[in-house]
Amino acid sequence: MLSSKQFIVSHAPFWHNGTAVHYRNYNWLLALAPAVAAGLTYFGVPALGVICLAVSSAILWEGLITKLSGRQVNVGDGNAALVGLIFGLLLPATAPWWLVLSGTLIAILIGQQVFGGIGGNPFNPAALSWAIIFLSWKTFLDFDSMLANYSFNFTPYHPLVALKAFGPQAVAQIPLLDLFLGKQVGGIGTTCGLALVTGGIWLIARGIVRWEIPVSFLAGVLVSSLIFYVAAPAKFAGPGFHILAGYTLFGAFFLAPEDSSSPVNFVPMLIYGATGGIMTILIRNIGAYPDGVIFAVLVINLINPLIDKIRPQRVN
Amino acid sequence: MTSKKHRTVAYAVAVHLLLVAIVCYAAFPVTQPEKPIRLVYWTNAGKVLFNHELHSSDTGFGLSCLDCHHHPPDDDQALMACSQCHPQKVKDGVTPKACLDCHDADEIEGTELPNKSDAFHGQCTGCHEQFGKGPPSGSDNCSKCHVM
Ligand code: HEC
Ligand code: HEC
Ligand code: HEC
Ligand code: HEC
Ligand code: HEC
Repeated sequence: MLSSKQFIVSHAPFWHNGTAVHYRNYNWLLALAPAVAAGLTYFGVPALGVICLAVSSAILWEGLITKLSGRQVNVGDGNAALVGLIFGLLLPATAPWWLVLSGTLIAILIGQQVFGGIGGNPFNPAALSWAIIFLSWKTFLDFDSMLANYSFNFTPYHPLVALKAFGPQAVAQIPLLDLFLGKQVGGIGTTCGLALVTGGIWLIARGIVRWEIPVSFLAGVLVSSLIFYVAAPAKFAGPGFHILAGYTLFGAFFLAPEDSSSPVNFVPMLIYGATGGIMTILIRNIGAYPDGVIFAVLVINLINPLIDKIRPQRVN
Repeated sequence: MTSKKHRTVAYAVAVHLLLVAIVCYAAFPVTQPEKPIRLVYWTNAGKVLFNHELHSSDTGFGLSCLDCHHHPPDDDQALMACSQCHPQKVKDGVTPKACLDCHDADEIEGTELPNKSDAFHGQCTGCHEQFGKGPPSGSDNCSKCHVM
């Protein structure tokens, strides 16, 4: 046997800021607090139910699974809670309980534990779970129908669905400030740009997330949507809309930079983020789905081991 | 803090959140509002989103309830689902059960009753054409209502 290598793991530089895993996760949880607050304000008690169920079930699933598989039970590190919270924030406020429970089970089991738990997952667990749920029970992630019983004082249809189905004229009237302030149909914690940017910048300032990934992700969205827009403004929406509508900001700050599925070197981080942004726009503008963020994140997770090899080479 | 303490705290948090979640789901089940806000129809030609509130409120299009809820004419009893009277498929000689609440079977025999999708298409596009606003009939306009 010449080589029995099965996994190639990125080597130095590892990046250590001298703190423990739980410190990082608790900071992530805190950074999501503004998004949680916004979600509770917009959607009320049903959103509280979804969030509480997502967080608690993720913790309990992880405890159960690690216990059954005889591994060390690490639920205290906050990782399961974080995965659960991120998954919950992606859902419509009226998500049924069984959907939440299945989603967190998939995120913890398939997203993380089968790969050996925290740090071993090649994909963002919450995004992977969302994608599996989406392919299985699409209508339950259809915000227009799930939120049909909410009376909104703003354009009451999902901006990206409207864009895809009715063209850019249909969304041209929506003020960008409305989108930024969360006046859009969407997930519990994904609609309020203000809350997401606040939490994201805070994470960066604390040194928990490196700025390169979110910034290059958003730059990728901006540049690619601008190219489409300039080429055919009657067919495509502008960059401001794409950055503020749907999952973009949530993806840039809270999905793409997930610790174990994203790169750590400078240039790879830029490539990783920018690719995610560009994929998002390609899926939105020429792909089949209204919002491309989740699938774009999974794609960059997939190529992460490859691009993370781009690093200073030793000269022989 | 030791990791064991962390674990105890995590489980305690999980159990409390679970209780809150159970209360939220049990005490506030998703209910249909008395008057629909938006209605979604999943059809084999894509979903249709009908903004009931916008059509019927004074701040919206200001239509009268009985413009659409047309039978019995000018009667609040008409405020029911169209599908109660307009079945998915019209079968000859079968009267929808709802009719018999108010009519004897022989009284309404032979009434021409459009099926559900004809009733919707007829009323929605008919009114839009009358107003010159909103998606009218014609094959260019399907995608103004249907999200494919
Ligand atoms: C533009 C047409 C239109 C107007 C105006 C309108 N409705 Fe409706 N309404 C509908 C349609 C279409 C449905 C859905 C029926 C179905 O799905 O079978 C509906 C459903 C309803 C239902 C639900 C019935 C059920 O059992 O599910 C109620 C209640 C109702 N409307 C009340 C009202 C009231 C009250 C008003 C006036 C404020 C009003 N509607 C104005 C078209 C209209
Ligand atoms: C209580 C029973 C009942 C309900 C509820 C009802 N309809 Fe009807 N509808 C009828 C009957 C009976 C006819 C045929 C006789 C007539 O023209 O009035 C009819 C006829 C129609 C027609 C054909 C009218 C024409 O002039 O050719 C349309 C279109 C229609 N309905 C649409 C609707 C829509 C849309 C709704 C829901 C908002 C609805 N109906 C609710 C009983 C009902
Ligand atoms: C809520 C009670 C109610 C229901 C349900 C109802 N109707 Fe009627 N219908 C009436 C009343 C009241 C009239 C008398 C209206 C008038 O003459 O002004 C009427 C009149 C009629 C007429 C006489 C023609 C006309 O349009 O005035 C026909 C035909 C008729 N209904 C058919 C039906 C059919 C078919 C159904 C079931 C799909 C149905 N109705 C359901 C109350 C009802
Ligand atoms: C009684 C009249 C009437 C009926 C019936 C009616 N509409 Fe409309 N609808 C309007 C008017 C008026 C407008 C346009 C108002 C404007 O643009 O100022 C409109 C606009 C719309 C629009 C575009 C605006 C929006 O909501 O985004 C859609 C979509 C629509 N209608 C769907 C439907 C559907 C679906 C039905 C049948 C279930 C229906 N309408 C039945 C009067 C009606
Ligand atoms: C004014 C909005 C509107 C327009 C325009 C419109 N539809 Fe619909 N369509 C509806 C609604 C509302 C329903 C849901 C009725 C139902 O559940 O049966 C529907 C249902 C359907 C269905 C499903 C019927 C069934 O039996 O399940 C088909 C197919 C369909 N439409 C085709 C078309 C085509 C083709 C066009 C263009 C010529 C068109 N529609 C234009 C509103 C519209």
